[in-house]
Amino acid sequence: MDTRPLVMLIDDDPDATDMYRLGLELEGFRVTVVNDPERLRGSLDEELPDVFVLDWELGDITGGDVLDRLKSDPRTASRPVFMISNHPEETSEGRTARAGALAWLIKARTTPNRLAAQIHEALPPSGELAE
Amino acid sequence: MASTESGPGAAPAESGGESHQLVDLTFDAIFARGFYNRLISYWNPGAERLYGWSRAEALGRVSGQLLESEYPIPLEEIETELLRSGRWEGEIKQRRKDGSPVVVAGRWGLQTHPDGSPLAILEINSDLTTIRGTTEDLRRSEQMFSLLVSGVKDYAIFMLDTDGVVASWNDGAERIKGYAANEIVGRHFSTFYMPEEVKAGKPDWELEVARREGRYQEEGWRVRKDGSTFWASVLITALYDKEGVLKGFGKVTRDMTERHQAELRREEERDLEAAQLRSHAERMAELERTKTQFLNLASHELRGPLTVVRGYTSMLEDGSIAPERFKEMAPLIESKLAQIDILIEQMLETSRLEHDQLELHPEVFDLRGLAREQAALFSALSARHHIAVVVDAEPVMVSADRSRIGTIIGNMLDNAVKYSPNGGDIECKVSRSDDSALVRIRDHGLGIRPEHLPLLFGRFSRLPTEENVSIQGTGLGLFLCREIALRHGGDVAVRSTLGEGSEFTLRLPVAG
Repeated sequence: MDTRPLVMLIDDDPDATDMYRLGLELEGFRVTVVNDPERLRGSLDEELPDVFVLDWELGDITGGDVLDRLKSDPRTASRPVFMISNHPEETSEGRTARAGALAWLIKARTTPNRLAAQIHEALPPSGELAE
Repeated sequence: MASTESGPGAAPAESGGESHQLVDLTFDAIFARGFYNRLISYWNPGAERLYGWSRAEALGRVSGQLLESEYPIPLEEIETELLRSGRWEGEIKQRRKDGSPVVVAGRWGLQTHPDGSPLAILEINSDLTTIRGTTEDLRRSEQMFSLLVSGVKDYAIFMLDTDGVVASWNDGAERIKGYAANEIVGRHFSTFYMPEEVKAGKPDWELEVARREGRYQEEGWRVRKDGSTFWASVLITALYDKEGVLKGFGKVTRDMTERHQAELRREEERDLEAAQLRSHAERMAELERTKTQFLNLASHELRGPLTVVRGYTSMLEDGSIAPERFKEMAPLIESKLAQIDILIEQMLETSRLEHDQLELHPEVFDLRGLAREQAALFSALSARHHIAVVVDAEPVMVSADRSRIGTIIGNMLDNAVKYSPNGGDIECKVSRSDDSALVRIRDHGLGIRPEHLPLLFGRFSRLPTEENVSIQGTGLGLFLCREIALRHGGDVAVRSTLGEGSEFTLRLPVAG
């Protein structure tokens, strides 16, 4: 069984998720991508990710809605969630922090390398991953 | 006043005492002269004032000669009357010392000896010239005043009795209120008030105020005989006689309708100005909000492609990706840079529109060729989509700004690609229908929610707010497409069914 941490990217911009997937894989993560948030439930049934990277603009819903879903699902409630967005409204940052997001990252300034560093920090030491 | 002393010298002047002092004080000319010798024995200050002769000059003179008296009847008859009744009254024409005539009312009395024989005549003569003049002046003045009041046209001036019943009427009242004097005198003045004011007892209240405070003044609506209304300036004054008894009220009314209307107009103008200022301020505030929203929007939209470009270059820079793999990524990076460029161009184009500085450079060209060029461009950018170009056999000529029409077609193709995330066929059809050249681009993508259709062509309508996250893009694209098409005399329209796809149509006038 592959013990590398699994990162789920939830973002409806395929070009962005392609880029982050490549970068995170090169940093030693396994990556699963959800471009259509409606398919999130099915994706979670396959394998529970160790960390979520959640975009704000997701078509008909917001990253805030997805965050609420993740936090109310006992399987994912304690998993770290990073909000990542180019959304300029800083009010959303407070909302997602209250809802349990770990950080609000400005996408345009978050290279795959930096994202990887943030994720490493948030994860328990290697080998203690909850499975 | 009669003296009982004997002799002609026994006139009041010589008798002394209070009576003489009293006679001295009266304004009437009073003198005494002997009954038979007619010599003046007493001459009071009133006589000095009236005739101009001093006491010293007058005493001892014959009164009738001194004063050149002309009696209404012969002097003998007067004396006969005096002997008979002791009194005589009549008008006498006399002459003053300075020669001027004077008419006096004479009230003569006979002084007698104790045995009843005549002693002296006391003449009390009142100056009728002055009294007559005063009475005449007074009458003339009253007449003038009456003429003045009745002739005044600009003011209704009339009297009310103590109950408020009209007692007099002038020309101004007739002109302003429409009633002739015979129609209104005798009627209560509440006739001039609005029915609701009469009901509320306002006319009586006004009289009460005038009674209490001496006057009542106001401006308000009043009713004419014909039922029309006018804006009146009203003054009611309580009129009292010398004993302080209320005799009635004087009412002065002026028609101020024109001035009032001018004031109302000025007020309206002021209100309008204020409203315009408010509206201007609101527009400015709205503009400010729009600008802020636009800046947020622009930053968001520019950051999207920037994220991807920076992501790849950072990996190339830190060596995560081998330099030889750059070629794989170059087209994507290029397309992201192009996207940034388009966004910037859209902003500039919008700015030109805003400042009315959008200059079109029209040329006559075949729309089919331009559509093919744009379709080829977008086919190259997306491998997942197939763009089929269907064109009329005949050229579809338009006279338009080729570069900008290319932008419109490109924008419609970009939308078709963007809203067909799962790939699929996109049809680009160029045709002519009557006088219209049409470019119709149909996708089989997501379609647009009906409630979003009205927002599509609005400027900055697709804001990435929590309420409106689902619509992406700056919102400038379709706004610009339609604005530019409109400036060509054409339009851009959309039809869409959610889940089935959308169809955007550019319509331009055919050249020639």
